[in-house]
Amino acid sequence: MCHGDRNMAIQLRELIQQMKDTSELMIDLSFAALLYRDRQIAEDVQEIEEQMDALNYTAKMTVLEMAQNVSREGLVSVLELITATENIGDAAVEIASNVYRGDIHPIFKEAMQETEDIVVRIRISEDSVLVDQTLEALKLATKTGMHVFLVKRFREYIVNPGKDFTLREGDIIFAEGPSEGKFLLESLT
Amino acid sequence: MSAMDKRPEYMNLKEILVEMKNISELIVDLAYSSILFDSEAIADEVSGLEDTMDELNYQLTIRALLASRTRDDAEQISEILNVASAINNISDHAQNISEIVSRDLDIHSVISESLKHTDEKIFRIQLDDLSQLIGMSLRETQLASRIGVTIIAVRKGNRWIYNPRKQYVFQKEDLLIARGTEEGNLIFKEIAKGRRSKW
Repeated sequence: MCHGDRNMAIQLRELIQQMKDTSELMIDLSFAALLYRDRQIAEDVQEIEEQMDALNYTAKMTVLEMAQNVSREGLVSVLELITATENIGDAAVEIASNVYRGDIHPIFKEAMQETEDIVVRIRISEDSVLVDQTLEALKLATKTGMHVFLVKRFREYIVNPGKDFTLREGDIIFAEGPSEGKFLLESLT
Repeated sequence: MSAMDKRPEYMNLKEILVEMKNISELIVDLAYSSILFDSEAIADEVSGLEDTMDELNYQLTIRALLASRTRDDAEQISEILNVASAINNISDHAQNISEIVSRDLDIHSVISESLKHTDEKIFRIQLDDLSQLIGMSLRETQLASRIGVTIIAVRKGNRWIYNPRKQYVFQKEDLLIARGTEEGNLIFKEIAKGRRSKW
């Protein structure tokens, strides 16, 4: 493999990692949308799917650019991996789309509530103490028990934001944790 | 816990749904692990989970159809069937991913060697009745800090626990999926087989 190919391989690996993280997060969010009958979260899942489509396209283009220098078996397997991951995202959209139906079946609700953790979606207001702070400095997980796994900024969704990610006014944060954490987090936002 | 050792045909609707949801949240990660660690053992687990999922989906469909008496029932039940079918699709796609490993398709030549965690391996091991680990919590064992082994998942019969918490207490017959160095793996095997009581 020449140097350029190696760079492309690394880029591709990161794209695939991002797709994998995104697909898993979409599954979690789609269950949350169903349980809380939250149409907003269902729309988020739909929009994240559009982001997934873009990743899918970029990843496949990258694979094809590498086509001359790698084995056909390798190409096929990576394309299959990318397609399967994209399909998982589609299945999550399918799950979330049920939110537009009527009431949830009581047994279904009970089943979805088996885990103690809850998911919250909160917008950061102008005067929030979180504005201009990094996730690391905030130590939200320690202080509130809530883990921020997704941030929506304008139209973009940032999956698993890192420690050095700085929150801004207007960001919508998605966090998961024990139900007590919800009020603590809301008081900060 | 009690429901989880049951075969799908003996589970009630709620138990089936809980199990299907749990599997859907676990199977994608397991499928990717099979590729990342080039592990046929993990690919086999994915395959087994996918079989379980098919059976769960079948049993769910029967129970859901029997439970419907009025139009309102039917509407709510149709949502359950919809979601179950989407969950079932997730496990199908996950199996497509792990099949890449089973068919030995050369993925690493494309995504480069660095896709593999070269210094770490994934391994599967069954706890022996004599192992010191039985009755200890994950926190007490300090496996990660002492021998560099991380428990990724625990299987009890048909039930999976993914990323077990620190409070998790090891029990007889647990099947463990762990990640660690070759050396950590060897030590861990000794501990799990009850041939080593200090680490």
